[in-house]
Amino acid sequence: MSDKKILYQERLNRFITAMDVGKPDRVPIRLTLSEFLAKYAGYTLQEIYYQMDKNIECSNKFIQDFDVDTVPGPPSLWMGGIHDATGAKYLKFAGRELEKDKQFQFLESDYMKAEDYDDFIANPTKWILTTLLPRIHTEFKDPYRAHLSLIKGAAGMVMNQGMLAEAGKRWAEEYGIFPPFSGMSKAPFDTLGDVLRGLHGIMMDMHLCPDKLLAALDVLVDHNIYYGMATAAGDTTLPLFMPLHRGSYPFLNPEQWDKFYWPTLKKVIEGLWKHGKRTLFYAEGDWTPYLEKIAELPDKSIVFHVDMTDMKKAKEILGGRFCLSGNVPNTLLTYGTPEEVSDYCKKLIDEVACDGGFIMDAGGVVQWDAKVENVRAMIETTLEYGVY
Amino acid sequence: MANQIDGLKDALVGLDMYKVLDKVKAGLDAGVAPMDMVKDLQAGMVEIGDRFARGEYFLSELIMSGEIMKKAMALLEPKLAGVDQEYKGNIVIGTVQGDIHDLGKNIVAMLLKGAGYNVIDLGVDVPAEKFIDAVKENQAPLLAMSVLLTGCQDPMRDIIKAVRDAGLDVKVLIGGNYVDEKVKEYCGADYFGTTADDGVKVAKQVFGA
Amino acid sequence: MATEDSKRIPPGVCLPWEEKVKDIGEIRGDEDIIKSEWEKLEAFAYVYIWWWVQR
Repeated sequence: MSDKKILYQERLNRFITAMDVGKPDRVPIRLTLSEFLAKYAGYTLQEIYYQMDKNIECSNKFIQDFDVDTVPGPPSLWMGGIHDATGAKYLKFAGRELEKDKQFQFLESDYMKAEDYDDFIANPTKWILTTLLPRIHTEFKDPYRAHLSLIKGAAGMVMNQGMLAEAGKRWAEEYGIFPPFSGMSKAPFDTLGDVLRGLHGIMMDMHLCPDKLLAALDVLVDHNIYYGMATAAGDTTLPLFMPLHRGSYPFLNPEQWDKFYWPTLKKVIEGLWKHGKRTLFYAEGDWTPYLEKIAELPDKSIVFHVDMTDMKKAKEILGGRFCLSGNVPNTLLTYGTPEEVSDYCKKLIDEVACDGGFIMDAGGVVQWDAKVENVRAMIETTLEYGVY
Repeated sequence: MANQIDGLKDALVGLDMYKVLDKVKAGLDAGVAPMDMVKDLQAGMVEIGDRFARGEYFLSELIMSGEIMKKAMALLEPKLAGVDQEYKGNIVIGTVQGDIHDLGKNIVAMLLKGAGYNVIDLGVDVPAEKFIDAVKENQAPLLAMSVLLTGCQDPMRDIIKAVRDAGLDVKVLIGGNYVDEKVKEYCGADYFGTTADDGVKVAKQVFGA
Repeated sequence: MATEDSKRIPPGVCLPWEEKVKDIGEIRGDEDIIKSEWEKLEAFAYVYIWWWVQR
């Protein structure tokens, strides 16, 4: 076996052992870096939003320079070109209507109206294609441009997937490293609440049309399981990325959480687990009040990621049954000193990672404001101090 | 006459949209002073803010009450022309340049309005000059800036510096999910807030009312 | 009724083979070959359509 293959296997074992709540040789490091990577690699945000080769190059640069267990990034999930091809009304990109180093902006709105529920429930795929996409894109004004935009959008997606697959091979062969997850999906409540109804829309629906909302959430369960497995191309080694939004405290009151947020999310996670697919429960914000509920999930079926959730309680309630990750505060990475970052990581290693089942990461996705020396301190401390 | 609007406040606190709107319409038909209804609704918003502070209400209730309030005010505002409202003071609020998240800002603005302040809401992606002009024009003793993206905290610092350089006598409150003592110091703000009701707490300190 | 419809079309399918096959009429060779290729492209189209809302 080549050195890189050995390294790959070592890292993968370390990562999987931790996800299985075991004690590897040392605490694994997964970094969830976004625009930070562009800055580090010396690209503008316009370049990484638009040019997929540069987007991927950001990750290459980082893994050449740092010893981490999984590939961070690529920083941009947004393919500017595809959104121009369709004329996305809901996105503003660096270098187009924004200055070339500004973060993209997603304009949230109720793109799906309350009146759309019946059609959505009847056949969501058809509704998205025939009603939603023409509504939120400017290129659907005549059949010629509409067909063209869909062809270009699909082609763009395939090209990007091809480049990522190629990059994945190179990361494995040349650097002995793999991406931190495969596939993505969402909580049904977030699928509806993020892009479709918007936050205000879904909050009103809970009061004004709860039955329709519940019916739509139910319809989404199978779709979200399928979408997760399909985007993972069937892989069950790495966890599925699931960014969780509206379930964090204090968005919903406890009855709403129990009634609208949790039941369908639980079904999606359990459905994925039946396929052998573990979920990276990327809990943005604070989830402390819901830890007991989350503990109802099958052992090891998630990696519970801690952003602002109380880490001590998370360990108390979920530890031993689920791997935990994260929690190095993003504000510390921006405003703190390397010593402070190092101390925080040591504390996490002593108090949380001590029994295994822990992956080092920042609390939230790291944007361009983090200091390089602080990211370095996080990695070096884990490499030295995180040895079991 | 007051009968028409009995229970208006409670209907808002109970988040009963149809009841609130029915009562406002009935009140207008019966010739109830629109300002009296606004006062009842404001009292309702204060109660809702208190419930949030006590952990009895969540963001979903704040957002729902905001939507009801919007619909009620759409009925009342045309009738309010020429009526002078008394305010506890002027507050300028906005989301800083580069950031377009307005959930937190809108909720804080709504609770401040409910508490009786005149809130000048500059919207999102607001540059320094716009903040400075609004503070000057309204002689506002309090400037509230909202930011979600940590990457926009640097521009926030620049804006605060520009406000200080302009020699304005104004207290600066910064708010957002990822704001803390460290960010406050870094940006040179006077106060920071992370939850919906922090805005009202700070305003009470600044205005003494 | 709404729920009937959504039950009829499972995830990964946009236009079910059962409907398509009616348009084709008589199939002189191996139906499974045609069907499996149809379904592969169906699955791709499905993920592409949902990609616009799952993010």
